[in-house]
Amino acid sequence: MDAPVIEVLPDPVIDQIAAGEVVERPASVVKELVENALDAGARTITVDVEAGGRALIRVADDGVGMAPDDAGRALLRHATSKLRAVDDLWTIGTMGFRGEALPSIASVSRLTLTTRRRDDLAATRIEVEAGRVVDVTEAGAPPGTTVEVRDLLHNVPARLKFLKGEATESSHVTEAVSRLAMTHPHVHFRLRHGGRTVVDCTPAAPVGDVADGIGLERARALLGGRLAERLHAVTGEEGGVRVIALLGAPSLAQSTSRGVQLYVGRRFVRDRGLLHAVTMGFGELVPRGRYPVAIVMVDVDRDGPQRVDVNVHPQKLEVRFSDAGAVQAAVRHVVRRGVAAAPWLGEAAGAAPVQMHAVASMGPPLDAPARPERASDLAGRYARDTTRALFPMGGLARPSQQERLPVPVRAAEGSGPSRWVAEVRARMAARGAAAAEAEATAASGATASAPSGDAGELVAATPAPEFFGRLRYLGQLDRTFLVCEAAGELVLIDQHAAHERVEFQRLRERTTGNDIPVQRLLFPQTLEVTTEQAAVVEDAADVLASVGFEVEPFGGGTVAVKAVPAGLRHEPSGVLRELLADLADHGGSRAVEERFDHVLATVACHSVVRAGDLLSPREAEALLASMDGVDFRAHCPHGRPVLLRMAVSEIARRLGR
Amino acid sequence: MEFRIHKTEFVRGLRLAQSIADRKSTMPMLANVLLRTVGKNKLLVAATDLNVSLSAQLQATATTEGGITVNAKALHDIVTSLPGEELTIKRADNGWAEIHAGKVNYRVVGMPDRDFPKVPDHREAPFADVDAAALREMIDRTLFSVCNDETRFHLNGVLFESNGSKARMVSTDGHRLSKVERPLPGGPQLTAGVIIPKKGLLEIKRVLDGASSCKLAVKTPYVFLQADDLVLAVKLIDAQFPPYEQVIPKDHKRSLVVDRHQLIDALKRAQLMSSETRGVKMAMENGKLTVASDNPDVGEVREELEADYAGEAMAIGFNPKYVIELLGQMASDQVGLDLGGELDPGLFKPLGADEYVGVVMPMRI
Ligand SMILES: Nc1ncnc2c1ncn2[C@@H]1O[C@H](COP(=O)(O)OP(=O)(O)OP(=O)(O)O)[C@@H](O)[C@H]1O
Ligand SMILES: [Mg+2]
Repeated sequence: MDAPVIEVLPDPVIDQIAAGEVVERPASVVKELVENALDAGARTITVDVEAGGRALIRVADDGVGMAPDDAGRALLRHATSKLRAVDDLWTIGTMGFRGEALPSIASVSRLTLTTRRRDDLAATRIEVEAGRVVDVTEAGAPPGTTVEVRDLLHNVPARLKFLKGEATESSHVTEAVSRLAMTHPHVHFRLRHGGRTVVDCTPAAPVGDVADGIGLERARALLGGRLAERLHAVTGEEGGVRVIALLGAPSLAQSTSRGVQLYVGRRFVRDRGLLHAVTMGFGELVPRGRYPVAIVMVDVDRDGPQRVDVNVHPQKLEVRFSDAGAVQAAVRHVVRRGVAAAPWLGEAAGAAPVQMHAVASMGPPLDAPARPERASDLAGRYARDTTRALFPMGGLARPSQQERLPVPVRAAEGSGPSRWVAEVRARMAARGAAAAEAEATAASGATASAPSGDAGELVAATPAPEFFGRLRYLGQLDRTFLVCEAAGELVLIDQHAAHERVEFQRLRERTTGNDIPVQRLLFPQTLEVTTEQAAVVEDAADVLASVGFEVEPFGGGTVAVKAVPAGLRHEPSGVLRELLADLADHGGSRAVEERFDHVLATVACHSVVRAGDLLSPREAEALLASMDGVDFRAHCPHGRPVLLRMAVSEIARRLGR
Repeated sequence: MEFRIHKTEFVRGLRLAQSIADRKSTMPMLANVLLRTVGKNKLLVAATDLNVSLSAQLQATATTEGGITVNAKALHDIVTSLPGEELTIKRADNGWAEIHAGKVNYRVVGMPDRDFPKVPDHREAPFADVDAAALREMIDRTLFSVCNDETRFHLNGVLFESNGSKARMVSTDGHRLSKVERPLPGGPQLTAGVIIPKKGLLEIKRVLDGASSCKLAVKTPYVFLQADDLVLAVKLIDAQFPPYEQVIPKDHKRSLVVDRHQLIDALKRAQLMSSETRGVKMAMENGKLTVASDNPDVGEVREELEADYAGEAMAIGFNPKYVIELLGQMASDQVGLDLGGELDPGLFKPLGADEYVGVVMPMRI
């Protein structure tokens, strides 16, 4: 007789499959265990991790503990004390609700659960190996629960293979703990990696201006001084949606969305819609393609119209709102209000406040701006860039290719780009086009209430050949924009973005390999970074070296810089931080060339005119002329638009002609 | 308060005062210079930015005693523009200062002298006579390699070490380092080096400019310099200077000797092949040194120099600005360059008895 094709899976297999979804890496185990401790009403949670969590994860809490019977049941699938009816999923107040975490973890590790209720005389200890209970004993232990997980994934070698190095895994663990600590400021969190304390935040009373939810003190403790000092807190409510936000100065803006932390009901989530809402809330202060630093917590009123489904992602990293648009609007408005009142608002670049709204100010007001618009959408960037410019590291060179000396320069250029360069160019072009498209979408979204067609005329199409050289230069606006006339249209060009783009292209053409000149340092320069970024240094040393940085871990959140790309004229720490954040974000998935691009872009950015530089007409015209040779997608290498075009007919229409 | 003073005498103090006074400070008083009569024949002129302070006791005739403060830059410009050789300054009501010279009468806004910050007291400091020219030369030979990045404040000055007979100054910006040693008999006897900030050194140089002899004293947290009736107090940088001896190469595999002027000229020519400072390549082989640079935007250059070199052929890249600045502080005709590998620091030193060395980190180009 044939064996049956369809078989009911034995339980351990089901558990392992479930575990595959819940337990991605040590950090996910830590997250689940800490969530359980929080649900148990713990006041102090201590997490110990060895070897990045591969060898040991121990989470000890002083919560309510479990009765001996319940302890046994907790290790069964779908055993939960938290969810009684399906309806509850909408109004869930605890972090856990599925009864899936403990059995999942237990099925892929050696797990020991020790738990004692305050009034019980002894604790119960249960030992589980790969999902099977091997021992149940009584033990002496303080009230509360301790879960020890050893040899995670030892019985699933295929998944074990996907774990990263110890440093990377450790940094994920730290991140997981920080995210939970962020929204539970009244709980004492401790995290030790191999006995070394990494996080120790004593309970901070949520600070007055941010009621409940994220405490400013806690955020400071977790983010570290440099960042946290510049956070501004704001709260608000709209349509049953409560928003608490800590907003970082625009000068902290980054090229990745890493700095935006979103929480829904104390859960860290990823949500493109909310991310966009936060970015929109910052408006022009943070240029397109960059992201602010912000911690935003959203909570919905239980009796309000808004519902949240938290059961849509195996690791609960996503949620679904019944009316996502309304939640996004609430976030956008609260963030905008916060930005308007933030103490850092006044410190943006020295530019004068004028209306310079890429799209919206040209159309009927959408959301009447609740704050004075800053002169340029670059304000934040330049505030930072200017600071760097004040502290030059010493005379440094622009990248050159000394090795090419014997080759006549013309011939080298005439021989055409290498395959690699061509490849990168193609990719850049693709990215540029994608960005332009995204911008067009965003722009048309922004002018939704305006007559259609507005956006289209303002967003640049790829300019015709010799477009720039033929422009008639009219003058400089706010020492930042070149005002020009073309046939039938007004063209505004961001002088810095344009020059940066030209310079980038030049560097790119000159550079034929992953090799740029490097200035070595006499004394290694130490730099404080996040533990996650420090981990990147270890894992990606060769990548960093290929872009001119010789960096070594120096213990804890410190790295030692031994050499820097010679093209950087300013203090290298800013670029390096950006680069590390970038690497931490994209892991190994990003091509080395793209990172190389990033450094070239940064180098370009640091060697060209800036907003606020007065340009003579001749200089301006020279810049315009040089723009023609450039592969323009209307964006600077950092992804900001370079130019704004407006048809004369449109101007006439608006002025009622 | 009213006093009479010679214009040249007054300008001597005001010139220093206006360069020290801090116009950008949030404390408006720091933009001012203090004028206060001392007895019948002296005028105290003082200025400070809280890090560098000047107090000068100038010859003047006081008719009534007292003091006032006025904007240092404005007063300096007014006084230098006045006709005649003498002027009178008088404090009028409501904080005005009246300045008379010949038929010119100025009224200038002033502020009360009691609000002026106290300048550090130099009277207890252990002053000793030192050679002003030697001091000045040491400053010149190290000041250029001070780090201007304010986030690295421990490098924002020159390390000064002195044992009473010999003195040493060292500075570094992290890319290069310069170190000079000089006999400085009578100099301060310090148990540990002190870091004198760049702005303080610039002011010290200014004072030394007009002085043949000077007195020096270190009394933490200040270094004091007295030249005639001018006293500068410079607040030391309270930080640890890096262990500089460790980065000065002690043994080397290769050694080159070349004409200093020729090398400077060659480097300057190579520098022309770039819009800004960029790496030049120095390649050495038996008996010659080739200095070369290229710039895809401009062109390329190479130049051969005769050199005393017998080691195996090698090439190393340097930022030419670093090397030119360093060589410019040497006086000998010949300069030696000691090298390890192409990524190891290069040691430049004048040939002869001059105790001066520069270390420059290479560029990988
Ligand atoms: N630290 C703890 N203290 C007290 N009880 C605990 C603790 N950890 C787990 N429990 C109990 O064990 C049960 C199962 O935990 P488990 O994490 O598997 O599921 P859950 O938290 O209910 O849901 P989810 O799978 O969504 O996390 C919980 O419902 C709770 O009753
Ligand atoms: Mg749970």
